[in-house]
Amino acid sequence: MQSIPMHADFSQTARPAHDPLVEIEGLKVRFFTDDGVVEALEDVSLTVPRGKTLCIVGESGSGKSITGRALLNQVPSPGKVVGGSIRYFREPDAAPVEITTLDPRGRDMRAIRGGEIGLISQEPMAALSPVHTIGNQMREAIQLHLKLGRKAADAHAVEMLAKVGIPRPAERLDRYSFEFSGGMRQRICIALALACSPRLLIADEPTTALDVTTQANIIDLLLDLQSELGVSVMFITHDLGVVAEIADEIAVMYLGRIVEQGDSVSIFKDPKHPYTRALLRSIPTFASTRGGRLETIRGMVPSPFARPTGCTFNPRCEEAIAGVCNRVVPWPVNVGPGRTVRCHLHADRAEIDRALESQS
Amino acid sequence: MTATAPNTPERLLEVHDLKVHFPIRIGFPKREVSRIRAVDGVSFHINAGETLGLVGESGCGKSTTTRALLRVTPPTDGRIDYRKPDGSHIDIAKASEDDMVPVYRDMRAVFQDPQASLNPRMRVIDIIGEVLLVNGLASGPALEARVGELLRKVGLPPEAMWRFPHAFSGGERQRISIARALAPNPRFVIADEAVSALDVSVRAQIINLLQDLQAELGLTYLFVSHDLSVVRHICNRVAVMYVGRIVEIADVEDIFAKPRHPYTEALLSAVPVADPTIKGRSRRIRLPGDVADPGNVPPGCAFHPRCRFATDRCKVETPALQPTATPGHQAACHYADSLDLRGAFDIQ
Repeated sequence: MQSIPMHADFSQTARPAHDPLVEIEGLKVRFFTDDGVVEALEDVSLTVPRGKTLCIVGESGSGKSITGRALLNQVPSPGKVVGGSIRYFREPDAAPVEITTLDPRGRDMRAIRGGEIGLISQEPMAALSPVHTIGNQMREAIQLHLKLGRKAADAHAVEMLAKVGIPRPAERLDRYSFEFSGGMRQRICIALALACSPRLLIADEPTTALDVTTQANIIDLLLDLQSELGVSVMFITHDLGVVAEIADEIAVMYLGRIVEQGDSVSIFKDPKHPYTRALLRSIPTFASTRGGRLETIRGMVPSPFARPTGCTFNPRCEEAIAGVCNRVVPWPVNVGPGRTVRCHLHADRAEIDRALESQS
Repeated sequence: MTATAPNTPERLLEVHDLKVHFPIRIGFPKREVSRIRAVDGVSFHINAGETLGLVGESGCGKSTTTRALLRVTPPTDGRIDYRKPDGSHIDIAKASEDDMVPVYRDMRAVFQDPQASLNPRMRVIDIIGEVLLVNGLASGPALEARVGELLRKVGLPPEAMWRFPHAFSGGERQRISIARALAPNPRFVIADEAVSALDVSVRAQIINLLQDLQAELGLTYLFVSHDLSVVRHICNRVAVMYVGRIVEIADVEDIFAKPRHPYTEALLSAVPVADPTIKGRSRRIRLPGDVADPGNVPPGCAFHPRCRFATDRCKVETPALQPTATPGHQAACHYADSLDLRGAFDIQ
């Protein structure tokens, strides 16, 4: 069987401390709807480290999926990237590719999307075509990106299906997506996303629709494949249990802004942002007392058309400082090695005063 | 079955040997060639005011069980004894459609997929209001006020009533279907994965809301879920299903502390723990293969091909759901009392 060369073998080479695969800086995405402009992403800056897993945690409407879509240059209409940059470092030392300036339908972007950046979505049934066989769909991607002949593409598809744990993969090429169980379908999506040896895998809630046992298997599979292939993963989820299992780095999002980021262990141990703290307290665990009231975050995620001024979390925050949090937009404050938090509770008072003065 | 003690709490629902089979018919004239045994001999009861959790992987028949209780899918065999608000009993398995009308007002459901359970061409006010209207519970301005109140209860702004389902996210849509279920003030709510699609902070609000409503109105819940942390939090008793049968049923603390069926143990071990210092991979019991096909159930114990304790006896003899050493704890495993299984708390 012909083996497919990886773009680069990242697992072997020693990595410098700061080796980003993707650097997003000041990304702004707006949706120009008939009812008004929605600021879907506001000043989002984050780094996907090479060969590691970055988890983007957030509730619906936080912009976590749009961040993933922006990376693929596929912000759905009527959304537009109106500012900021997404730099994709194909090789560690080479000049980066600026994704936001590429034509979404152009040759360069199409080579990256699906080839160098793969996507697994939440709904494998929606991601797979019901009228084409599994083999047909995999062959299309493999032939397009890896420039293989039909036979070699089939062989590669079988190899990928075997890798993700599909039994008797050669027979399954002629099957349709509806003939598989949910977990198997998600495995096929993973095989499809990894078939062209991407450097980055965007996994948008890939286990949310699955059973716990299947979810556990898929998480293990992703971890195994990551250590085998050295692929970087951007894992988008709202399930903090899954985050704890899989993340190296975490970015917590709320209403289009990253409110806290840092390494997984320290964020779980010592969350700094009131929103992160509230999120962690609101999940029932086996260790929590049964039947009691769960801690909740008061109110609800505000309508995107009525974004609160200042810190967008301030109306729901237990620790909000009146006159400050509702007036000044917090900036990222450094709270430890590689950790930032966008919260006035951790900011320098003098700096807040200056910001207040400049407003009035 | 457990013996009925004189001081047993009143039972709202009793299910006896429920079977839901889907025949596969092929040819002309159509002949039945095989059948999918989606639910194959399920017996349990629900006490008034309690929450029974029903857990298991997809395809295990938990949704089919709830659909049979609602008579959406007619049961093949068995008895579903439901106590109506006036104290009389009705066998849902054999009731006529006319007899079911008052039951539907009393027994409400929140289904798994809000995308499919909300009509995309109806405004939210009509989706929720229809329930009030056809049951003669409210109309005109009162209906609008009630819909607004229900929406607020589930964490949506009342203005949302003028919008269509497509304007909402998946989580918000599920809240609309919860509001619709609560509309006629039911006694019994079947929540089929009702909180699975909700956001973390919202899920906590909805769980609290469900508990508040239960305390306030004495609601009874059948809580179908795959999220065991939530099940532990909200349920009094738990039934674990595997390929059409209940394999274990017990009080929630018993089942989490000391499971008696290897499948329950594996389920508990698969739950991700929100603590990055405990990586789950070492503690996890990996189940080989997929859930057995209910159209082709393995002989003997259906779980034996995936069970790490399986013996030759398990391959031929189907274990019945039997009482174990712990009172009120039943398990369908030949070795329920001799296996030393890890509970949710040992695993962490």
